[in-house]
Amino acid sequence: MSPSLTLENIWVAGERAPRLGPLSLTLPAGQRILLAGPNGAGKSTLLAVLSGDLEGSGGTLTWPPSSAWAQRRAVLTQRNTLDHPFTAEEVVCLAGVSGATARAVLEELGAGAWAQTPYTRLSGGLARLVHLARVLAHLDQLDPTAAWGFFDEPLAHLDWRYAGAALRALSRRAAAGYGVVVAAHELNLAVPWAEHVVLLCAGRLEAEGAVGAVLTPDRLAEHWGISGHVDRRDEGAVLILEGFTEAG
Amino acid sequence: MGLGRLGLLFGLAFTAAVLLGPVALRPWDLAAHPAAGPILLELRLPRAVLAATVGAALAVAGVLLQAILRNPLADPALLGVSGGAALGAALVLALGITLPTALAFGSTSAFLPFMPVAGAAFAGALLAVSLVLRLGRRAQRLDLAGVLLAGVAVNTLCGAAVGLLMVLAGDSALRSISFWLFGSLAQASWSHLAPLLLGLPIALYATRRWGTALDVYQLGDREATHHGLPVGRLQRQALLLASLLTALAVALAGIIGFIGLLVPQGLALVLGPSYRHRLPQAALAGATLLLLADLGARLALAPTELPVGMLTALLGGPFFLWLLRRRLAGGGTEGGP
Repeated sequence: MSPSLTLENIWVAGERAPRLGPLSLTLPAGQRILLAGPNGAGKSTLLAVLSGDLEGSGGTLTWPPSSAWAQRRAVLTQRNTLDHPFTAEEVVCLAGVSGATARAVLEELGAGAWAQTPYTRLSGGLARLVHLARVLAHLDQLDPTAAWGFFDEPLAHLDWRYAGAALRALSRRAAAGYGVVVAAHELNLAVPWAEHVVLLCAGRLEAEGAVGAVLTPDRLAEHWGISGHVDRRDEGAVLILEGFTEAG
Repeated sequence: MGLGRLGLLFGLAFTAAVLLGPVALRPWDLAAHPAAGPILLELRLPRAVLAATVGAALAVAGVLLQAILRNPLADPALLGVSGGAALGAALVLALGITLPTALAFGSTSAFLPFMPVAGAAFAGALLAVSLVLRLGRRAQRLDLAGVLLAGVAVNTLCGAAVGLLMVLAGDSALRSISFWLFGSLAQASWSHLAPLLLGLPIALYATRRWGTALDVYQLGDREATHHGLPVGRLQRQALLLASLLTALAVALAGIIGFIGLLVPQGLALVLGPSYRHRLPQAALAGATLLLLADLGARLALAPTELPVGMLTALLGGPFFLWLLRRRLAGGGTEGGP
C-alpha cells in the first residue's frame, strides 16, 4: 500500500485572500477518499498541489516524490483540451499501454464499443470517460505501494450507468493499494462510495473523517443549501435529499 | 504502414526528375549520349537532390509546427520564417550586394555570388523567428496563441518591407526579387547543397523518438506533463528545428509555399492522425511532391521554366481541396455504434 500523504500548513496565494489553506491534512492510501466542497472551495487547487502542477506558497508536503513524478501519480484534470482525431483507443494508448490494454480499460468502464470511434466525435460524457480510462491505464502501470491517483470530477457529464462503472473502477484501484482521491459534486453517487471525506470550504479544511461525521445535516444546509442527511445502512451510507433550503 | 509505399513513390519521382527534362535521357543510351554525363552530374542530379531535400525540410517543418502549435493550419509562414527570409534576400538583391552576374537568378555556375542572398535569407529567417518567440513568451513559457499572433504580425511587417523595397528597387533587382519570392530550384549546384544535405539527416535523426511525444503532447500541456513529457523543452526544440529547416530551405530555394501545409494534412487524411511515424513519412512525401512539382515546372513550357513555388500552389491547392471534400463527404457515416 502507498504511504499516507501528509500536508502541513500548505497554502496557495491568491489575489486577495489565499486561494487555499493554510491547511494540514493526512490522506490515507488504499482508501476511497472523497474531496467534497461547494464550487470554488479549492478542490482543484488542492489537487493541483498534490499533482505537482502548482507549487504551494508555503508549508510542507511529505509527498513530493524523489523519483520522477510520472512514475508516482496519475492525474485526471477537470478540463481536457484535446482536439485531435485520435480514436478512443489511441487516446488511452497515450498512457503508454498497448491497444489490448487500452481496450480492456475501456471495457471496464463500459465504453468498449466506442474504442474505434474518433475522439472528436464522442459526446461530452464519453469523451470524459475516455480520459478517465487513459488516467486509469497510466495508474495501473505504476507501483501500487507508492503511487497515487488524483481525479478531478471523474463523474461529471456521466449518466448513472457509466458513473457506477467509473466508481467501481476507482474502488478496485484503492483496494489494490493505490492512493485514490476523487473530487466530485455528485454527492448522491459519491457518498455511498467514499470511505473518507475531506470537506473544503472557501479554501479551508472544514472537516475530515467518516462520511456521516463530515456531511452532517447542518453542513449540507450551510454549504449546499439542501435539507438532507446521510443515512447509514448495512450496505453503506446513503445521501437522502429532502429538498432545497432558501439559505446557502 | 505508409513508409514503404512513400519510399517507392519517392524513388520513382527521383528517377523521373533525373531522366526527364528538355533533353530526355533514356537509361539504355546514357553511355552513348555525349552530354549525358555532364547533364546528369552537373544539372539534373544536384537539382533533384535540392528539390528532395527542400521538399523534405519544408514538410518536416510543417509537421513540427502543426503538432507543437496544435493547429492544423500552422505553416512555416506563420512563424515569420518565410517573411524574415524574404526580407533578408530582398535587401541584398535590392542593394546589389552581389556580383552583377548573380542578379540573374538561374546562374548555375556561381556558388559564391549566391552566398550573400542565401546568407541574408537565413539570417533574416532566424531574426524574425527569434523575435516571434520572444514576443510570444509569457513568464518564461511560450504562449502558443501569442506565438501565432506575433508570427502573423512579423510576417505581414516583413511582407510590407519587401513590397517597399520592390517599389524602390531598379528594374533588374525588382525582377530578381520577384523571381526569388516565387521560389526556384534552378540555382542548384553541389557546393551550396552542403548545408541542407547535412542539416536534414541531423534533424531527422534528432527527431527519431519524437513521434510518440508529439502524440502525447496533443493532450495539452498539463496532461502531457502528467505523462512525464518535458513539455517546455519539446516546444523549444521543435520550434527551433522547424525554424532552422525552413530557413535553410528558403535560403536555398526561395519561398515555396503549400508544401509545409499540404504534406502534413494530406498524410493525416490518408494515414490517420497519429504522429508516431509522421516525421519520416513527411520527409518522403515532401521530397516526392517537390520533385514532381519541379519536374512539371521544367517540362510544362520547356525550355522556359515556371517558378516552382507557383506550381506547388497551383497543383497543391486543388488536390488539398479534393482531399478535404472527400473527408467532409465521408464524415457523416463514420460514427460509433
